[in-house]
Amino acid sequence: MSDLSVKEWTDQVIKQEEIDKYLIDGKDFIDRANINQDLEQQQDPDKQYIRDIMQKSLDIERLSPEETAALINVDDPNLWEEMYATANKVKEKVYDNRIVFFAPLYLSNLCVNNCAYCGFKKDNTEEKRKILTKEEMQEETRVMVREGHKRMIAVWGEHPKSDIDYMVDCMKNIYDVEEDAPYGPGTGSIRRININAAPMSSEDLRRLWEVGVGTYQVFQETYHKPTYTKMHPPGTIKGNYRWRLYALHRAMEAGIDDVATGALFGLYDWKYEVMGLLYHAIDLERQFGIGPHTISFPRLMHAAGSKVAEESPYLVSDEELKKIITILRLAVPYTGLILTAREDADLRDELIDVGVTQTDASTRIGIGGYSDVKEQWDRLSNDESQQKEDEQQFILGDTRRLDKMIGDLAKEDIITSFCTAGYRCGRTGEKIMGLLCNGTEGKFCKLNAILTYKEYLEDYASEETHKEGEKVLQKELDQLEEMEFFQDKPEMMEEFYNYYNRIEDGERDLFI
Amino acid sequence: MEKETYLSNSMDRMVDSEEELQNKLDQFCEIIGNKYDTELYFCEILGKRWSYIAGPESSYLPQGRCKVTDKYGFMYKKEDIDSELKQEIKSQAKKLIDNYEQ
Repeated sequence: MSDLSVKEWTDQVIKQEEIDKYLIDGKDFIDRANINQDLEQQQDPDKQYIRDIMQKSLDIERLSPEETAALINVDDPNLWEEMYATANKVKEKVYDNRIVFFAPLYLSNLCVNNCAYCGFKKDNTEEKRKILTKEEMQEETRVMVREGHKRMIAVWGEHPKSDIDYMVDCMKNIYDVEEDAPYGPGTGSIRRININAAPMSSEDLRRLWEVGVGTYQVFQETYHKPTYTKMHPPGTIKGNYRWRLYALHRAMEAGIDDVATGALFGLYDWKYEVMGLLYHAIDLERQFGIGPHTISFPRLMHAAGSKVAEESPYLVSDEELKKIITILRLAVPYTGLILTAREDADLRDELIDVGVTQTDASTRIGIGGYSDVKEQWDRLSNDESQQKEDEQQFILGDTRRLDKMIGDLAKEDIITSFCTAGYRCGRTGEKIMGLLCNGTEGKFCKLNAILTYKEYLEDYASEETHKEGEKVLQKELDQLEEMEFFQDKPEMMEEFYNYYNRIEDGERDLFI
Repeated sequence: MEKETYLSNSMDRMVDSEEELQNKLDQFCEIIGNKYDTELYFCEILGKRWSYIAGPESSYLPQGRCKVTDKYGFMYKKEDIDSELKQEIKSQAKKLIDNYEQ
């Protein structure tokens, strides 16, 4: 935790040289005129052109800005149906049919910034401020682990009290937690911590790298600079558009090869934001050889103390959100797509079918929010607790517990994965990108999804979810037998079944 | 014994070279790969993360993970590398890494 005053600390965060080094001829990679021109020139695209673009996505090639703009401008509902179906095919080709679950852990809502739309903004006096102690964060983690979670995204506001020293301590404290499973013989723990934290210097990012950070996630919020400036007051750290725009570049340079971007849809025109996300991916590819590990697309929602959502002319409808996800899946086929519990249950179930790869459940976004419901969760299978508007960054649309959501997905024949194998086998960054693009990673995904699903069912599933899950497992195992890829790999399959049987006998954390 | 001698001689030459560790490990993987018709790659260990640093970039499915030091380990194909050979690779890799870090 920094000893500097808030002002002293704030003044030393941004390192201008760590922005300038990535600029090309003094310019950043978001050229407003170019984006507007792309969108303007690709009006009324030809059907065959769109189908050719879809084929390119199926070949797992990242689309150009012109091609992406053409997809954005499709009006024909029948063509959109084709695009939805193709997006799902692309996802299955790259990631198989699984969905990966995680949960967020909010560690502090102290913040020096003043973002117009955010419940954590410093001028929001209704927000109850809190930063978790070691004991509190470990208790939060125990509740999450007891739900069955293996992946976490840790979240902090930007503040000297939650600086890099605090973040590093958080990661170590969280990784230290082990908790017995409620039903089976397993002892659970968080196997991968991804983080959502403010942009920082390469030096600080290197420290996160050294303690084993998973993915480093920074959302640009909006790529439209005038809107960005309006939403993030000048004079605050977050008011510096380019410091944020190059946060992931600095992470790459610090060695963190899994980086994640996103935009807060609803601040500006969604079509522009999709183009911004694409240009971000392109610039990462150009400067580091790989694009983002994941892209997120949260929608602007009501938050305590914020009127932006009520007043924004750019709020995104459910249909538009479905289009956004579809276009991103087609435009950046190798990337993971994250849909969160901001969205309500029915919509989430529908959107998963157009290419989403990760989502959350049993989500609590208040500071200390998991400990608040611990006793209730021990008694009830549904989350009937109230959300605390004065302690949350935004309000959730879907408060389903993990067990319920896994059960619901099982009824749709969707397997849940808690796989963290890539992160622990060197399959990250450039290596995983290659494997994703040639379809090999999807095969790992399938095997590890089955193994981790089996673990979950044994250790954490209710009777009903266990029953539904066993049907999914059997279908997955049957598919393995039929897949050509595995037919000439008898040793691997022997190893897989060996692991599967050992999990049934009580061993845990076996992965391919 | 033949495996051990081959590895040992190749490693001695590599240990003495002034290359960066990543280059040495790349060469190490190439020697093992050619000799035993297999593939392996090295990772840096950072907390729970194993991050790829050297070895072939080709796509294959590793099944084994061997920790060499607190900081480095390698992934390998179990069907090609038995436990005796794994121990020998581990021992030679450790020698190379320890020597580099001194």
